[in-house]
Amino acid sequence: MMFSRLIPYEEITKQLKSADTIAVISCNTCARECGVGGVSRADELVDRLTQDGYTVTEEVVLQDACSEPVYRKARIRLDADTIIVLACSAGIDCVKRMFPKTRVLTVTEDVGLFVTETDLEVFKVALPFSGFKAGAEYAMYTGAPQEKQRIRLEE
Amino acid sequence: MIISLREIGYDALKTQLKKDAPIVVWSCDECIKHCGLGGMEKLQVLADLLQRDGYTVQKELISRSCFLNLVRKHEAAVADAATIIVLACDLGYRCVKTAFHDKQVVKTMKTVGTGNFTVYRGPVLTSPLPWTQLEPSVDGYTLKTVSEKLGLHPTFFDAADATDLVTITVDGKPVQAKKGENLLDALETLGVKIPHLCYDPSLGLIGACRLCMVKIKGRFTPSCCTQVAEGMEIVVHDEELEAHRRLMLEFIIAEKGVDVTERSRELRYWTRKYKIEGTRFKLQTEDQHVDESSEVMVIDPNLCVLCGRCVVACNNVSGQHVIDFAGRGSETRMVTGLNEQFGETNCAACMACAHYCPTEAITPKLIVKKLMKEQDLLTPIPPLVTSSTKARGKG
Repeated sequence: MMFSRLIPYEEITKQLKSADTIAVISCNTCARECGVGGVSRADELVDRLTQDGYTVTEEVVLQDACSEPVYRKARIRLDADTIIVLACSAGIDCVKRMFPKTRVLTVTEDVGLFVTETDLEVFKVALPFSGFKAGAEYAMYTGAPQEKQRIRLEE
Repeated sequence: MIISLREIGYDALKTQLKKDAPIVVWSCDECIKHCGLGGMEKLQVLADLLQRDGYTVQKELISRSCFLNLVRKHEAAVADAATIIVLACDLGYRCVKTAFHDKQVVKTMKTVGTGNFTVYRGPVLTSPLPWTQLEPSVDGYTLKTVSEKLGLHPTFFDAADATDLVTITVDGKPVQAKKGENLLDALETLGVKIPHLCYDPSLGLIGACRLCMVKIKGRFTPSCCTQVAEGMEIVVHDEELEAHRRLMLEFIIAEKGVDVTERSRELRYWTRKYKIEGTRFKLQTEDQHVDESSEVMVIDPNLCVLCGRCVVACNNVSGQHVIDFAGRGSETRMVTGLNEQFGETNCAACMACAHYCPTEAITPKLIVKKLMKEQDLLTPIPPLVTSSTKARGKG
């Protein structure tokens, strides 16, 4: 699974213009587990953008935002001219290819690949991307860093 | 999805194995399957190869090998093994090594990053890990390209001649099939399509739906629960068998309603093929509550035909034991947790149940909300909308 982090809200709105029509596409798999995507994060972002006066035309939550067949099956038609993707870079790349005429904003950064312990609701970064370290643990569904290490992972 | 490639050849794999040590070939059923290097089909290929070479082999499939708690729940399956050969990404391999540290765990794959499953090019690598020294790519690198650049293998171990072929007769015609193979699989490989709902090669034998009946020596036999043997004479199509399949499909319609055939792709296919438009039996349908309490899945019992695939997937492939049957006879129904809403159970969201459900009674959650109508976009929008609920209500 892929751990991605959302950039600050202000950094997202810097990339937006008031006339933009926006669609929020949220991944309900890895991104949900690490607190970036899923239904609740999509709802939160749509609410905040709407309250700040932006025009949000669509909210989409789907399983595996990194899989082209998922979009084909869902037959999504967007009125928006700008897409905010709550997913890892692989999900964002997939959206860019599926909606080539629409501007796609990059609002997350990849931290690394993680193993998870769903009974304990924690996950641990095992294969980090550049600039990040392996071994850190985070709470599922929020991505909050954990002080205590609960997963001991063999090399 | 995580992109991995094979890093060792079959001969190199064998150098790590001992002939007298029991082996479990372990595969993740998620990303590695989409990379063409894992899943039950590949497990079977490697098991056949190893058995041919004299090794004692068992197979074990897991819905997600990067979920450490799920890996631990497969302990019984590897209890007698000395060696576990892992068909999974680096994360899946490390979880197996962590959970079963007293076993020899053999790594076969190398993870190169994350990517997409594309319609026309299959899996592609878009976000490579730093060690690959490849640049990120929106279009993505095909697995063949990545393999060439990094000295890995994009295909599975060579399955050629791994199994013995025997001659069987299907509707009077002699054909060849793999000895010991599941008869339903063998018939499908031969291009003979038989309706079935409860059987999937990854889940093993269930034998619940009774749709895949054939005749062997004149007796009705479920093909999904039969192994191919030399000289087997099979009747797939005759009047009695066709009437039986129609009858079974009509029973499903009687229990689930006529519209079940429109809402479920699999049932739609078979009822159209058998030209079934209704049922001769009294409809037993009652509208059942659709469970949308889970954040990741929706369960519609109105489409459930009690085939048992989700139960087997949750218990055997996942190991989480969240889904089971309750009640008896006509009162039998599929339940989650301790007869709770799905969202209240300790489901690990591995998606095995949704993946194997043949009638779309369990599906991944898909939400597409239109928050603004087209005419809304043509009228000026006030700079600040104070109530988000109001804004959403417009859709």
